[in-house]
Amino acid sequence: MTCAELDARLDGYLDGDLPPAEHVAVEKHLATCSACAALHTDLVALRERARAVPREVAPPPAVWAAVSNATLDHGPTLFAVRSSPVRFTPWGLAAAAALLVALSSAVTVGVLRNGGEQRTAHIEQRTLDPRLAALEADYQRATTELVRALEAEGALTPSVRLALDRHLAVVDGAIAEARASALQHPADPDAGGMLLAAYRQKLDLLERATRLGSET
Amino acid sequence: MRSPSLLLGAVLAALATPAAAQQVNRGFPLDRDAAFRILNLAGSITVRGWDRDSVAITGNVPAGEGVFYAGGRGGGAKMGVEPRGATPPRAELHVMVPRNARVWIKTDEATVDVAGVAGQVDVYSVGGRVQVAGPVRTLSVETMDGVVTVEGEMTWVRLKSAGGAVRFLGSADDLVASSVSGAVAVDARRLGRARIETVTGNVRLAAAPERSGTISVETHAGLAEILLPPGAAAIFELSTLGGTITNRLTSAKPGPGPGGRGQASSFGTDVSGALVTVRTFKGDIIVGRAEGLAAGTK
Repeated sequence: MTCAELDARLDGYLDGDLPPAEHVAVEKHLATCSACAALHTDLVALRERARAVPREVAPPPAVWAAVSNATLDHGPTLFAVRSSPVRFTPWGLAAAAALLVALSSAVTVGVLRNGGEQRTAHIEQRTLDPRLAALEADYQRATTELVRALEAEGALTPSVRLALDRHLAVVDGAIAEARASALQHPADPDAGGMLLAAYRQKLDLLERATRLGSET
Repeated sequence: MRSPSLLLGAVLAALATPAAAQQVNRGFPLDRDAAFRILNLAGSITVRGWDRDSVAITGNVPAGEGVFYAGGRGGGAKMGVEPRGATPPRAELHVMVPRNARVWIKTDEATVDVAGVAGQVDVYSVGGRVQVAGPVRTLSVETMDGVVTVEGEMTWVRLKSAGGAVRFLGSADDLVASSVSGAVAVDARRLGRARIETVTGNVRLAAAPERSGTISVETHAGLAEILLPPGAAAIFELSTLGGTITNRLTSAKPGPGPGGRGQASSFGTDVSGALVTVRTFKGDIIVGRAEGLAAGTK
């Protein structure tokens, strides 16, 4: 098994989802490749820490404000979620969602390992760390609900809507960048932390828009 | 006899003066800690606290463009300008309120200037400049593109813009300052808990944190400059995925980040100091000395 092949199977290995033969092959590779063993150790540690962290954002059926509060001021977390959560706008939601799907489906990965020797860059299926993916899903659900509420109530004045579009484009760019990094380096907690920070900014921006958009 | 041109000029001048505006001059009793709501979409809103149990409103509204209203009693009142057309009138309003009132202001593009209100101030603005001078116990300013400037002794402060810059000068027990692309600058003689966030805007924090304080700075792509005054104690946790770390405070050198990428650095000026965490995606981090800023006393 090559390092690239191991990369593609590591998540499944950790989840216990691999067929027995592949499971054994991964174990053999880990026993002989120090770089992959280190990656495996990091991922195990990351998952253990992630399991210890309570979910910060409960899926909000309608009350996104509760999501915001839950994410704002709770204690330290693996991904360093510190401030308010974020969501997608009605008009930006489709584009952002498409971007997220595209980023998660395939990404070019170049990994430096074995004493700095560059391993062959390859294209493979990559997913976020499960804990990070769960938090991201929570943010997306929160933003979707908020967007629906905004559209249903026509809560945004034209001036707020114009400003919101402009600033969401900036935040969406940051989300795309941080997400690509988190996909490329799933064992790096800082990458996940920056992704969630960007989501938080987005949700906070949308919440603010709802408060500014109403006439009273 | 005066010439016709002089006469015409006098007439035009008369039409252009405040005679074309609806004058506002209202007042009524209000409890010292009452809630008072102000809605004015354009123009200016000036609020001052005073030591009386009443409200006094002066100013003007462009004639025919809006209707001024004000009313209430005891624990709550409101005032504002209702537009008559699609374009909000540029009303100029000056309001005196009880010093400990809870003031709520909403505007689209009016400039907002508040001073001397010690109770609670909430400002919601789309694009107007917002300026608040303390002390204020509880302050919240939310805007999309407005520039926010706050000065004074505060207890609980939330300052949020998106395209505008945010500047805080003073001290606070609990501060959140954020912007998307605007810069955030904090000069604090004393700072307890603080969170500062931007996406692309630069951050400049020159603060004397309390020893028990926690300060968090996060920016995606902005420069994070953290300056500590002489005598202030802090433990720094710095990390950047794509930027660089420059430490001008101690001899500590940054190493690789926790994921093997970027740079990270942990060091302190005193083990019992405040915890200052700075994290960027690709913005550079600079930590240095803030000259001319005295360390806090708490």
